[in-house]
Amino acid sequence: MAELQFPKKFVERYGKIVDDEKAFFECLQARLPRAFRVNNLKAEKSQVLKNLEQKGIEFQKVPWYEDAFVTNSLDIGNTIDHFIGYIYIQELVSMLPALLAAKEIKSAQLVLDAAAAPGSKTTHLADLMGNKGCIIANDRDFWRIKALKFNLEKLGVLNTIITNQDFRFFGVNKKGGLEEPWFPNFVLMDAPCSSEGTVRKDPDVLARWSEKNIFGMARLQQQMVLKGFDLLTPGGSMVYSTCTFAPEENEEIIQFLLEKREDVKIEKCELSGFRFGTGLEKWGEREFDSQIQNCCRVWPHHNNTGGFFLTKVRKVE
Amino acid sequence: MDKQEILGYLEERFGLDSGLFGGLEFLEESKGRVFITTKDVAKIVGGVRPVTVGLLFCRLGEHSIKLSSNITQLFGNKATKNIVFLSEVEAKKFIEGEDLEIQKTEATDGYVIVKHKDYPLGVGLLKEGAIKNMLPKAKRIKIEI
Repeated sequence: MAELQFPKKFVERYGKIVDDEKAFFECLQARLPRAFRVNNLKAEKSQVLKNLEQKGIEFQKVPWYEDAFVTNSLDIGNTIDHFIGYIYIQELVSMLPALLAAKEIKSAQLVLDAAAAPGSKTTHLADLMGNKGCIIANDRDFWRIKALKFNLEKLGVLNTIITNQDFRFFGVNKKGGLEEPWFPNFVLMDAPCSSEGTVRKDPDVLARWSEKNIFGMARLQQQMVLKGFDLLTPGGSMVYSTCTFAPEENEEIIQFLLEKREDVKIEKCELSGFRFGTGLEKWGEREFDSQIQNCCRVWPHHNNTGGFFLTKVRKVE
Repeated sequence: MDKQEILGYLEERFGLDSGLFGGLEFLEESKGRVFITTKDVAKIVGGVRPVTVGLLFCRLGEHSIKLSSNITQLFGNKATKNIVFLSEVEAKKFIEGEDLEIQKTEATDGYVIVKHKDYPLGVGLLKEGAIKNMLPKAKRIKIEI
């Protein structure tokens, strides 16, 4: 891989908030490990692993999730196990949002995935729910829904309704919107973002990078996070996530939610074997609410992953 | 055609126990397409504007029921009859979308579940020793087995 050239502003912004600047930028230069998870809706894990071993595919267990594995093999997508949907190739950090909600979605009646395409996280939610309950998998982009549908079908997901709405206006249409009492127990808000954290697999992110793009995304995310929170049933929870380092799209969005709504609690997230960084205390001149410390930053050099941000928000009863 | 008729056919043709689909709902759409989903989805679906619901289960023809490939891959290992087992070479061809000539099978003419070892690959239409490939074009790929 050719050496990445980071915009000066990018280096300035993140060099000062990361714990180890050298390790951070070195890690961004390294190729991202290929990862996959076993799809329990269709497959017996032990059998799948045996199948892959028999084909000479080497893989390693991931310490923080029993169904996830990493491999250097490029052939993993060319196996019959992948063709049938026994395994799903998915970036490790993309497995975190559903995983952090695993306990509560197990018995959830209604889960809402606000920006679902292409379906990596939706299929993971369905797996963790054992194909029970209901997931509304929404995406505003009609063309990306094709990929969402394909992946849901391939992985044998039965418990979904696909919708095609602009989430900011989700359910407000009297002719067909979400009506009482169908308030979700859990909302996954994997928001559209500037995608800086994906640079290890998509270096073109740097060519598109600008602060203007970040500010534009943040305006959209503010509207989406409020909508997601307002739809939640009291006592329910939402995971807000992005694949970017930009505080404007992360801590500032959660700060915005805290300022706009009173019944918000930011919960601390833990995952045995995985190292989370805490949310920032301040960005520029702006100091954040102390609850923002409970937000989780995933720095690539901590776990050899892409960059990510997650927050678990509870709607207080 | 109602749910019981569909389940009766699956039991008779493939030995698929109707209990496998006991907790699930069948929704019939236009063009004879039947979808399968959970009871919770069926309760909620009236309150939203869906693009699709659940998983395509089968297509109803005038005199036939064709299971979808995705459902076959999900439940195909529970089938006990009208299964055609393919060799590695044949399985590769099937996944690539080719029709196949079969030398020997106990399956009778009509829709069959196509398997390689324990992998249910999809559905084929068996007629006089030839299998017409029913794998949707979007699922066909070149693969190493």
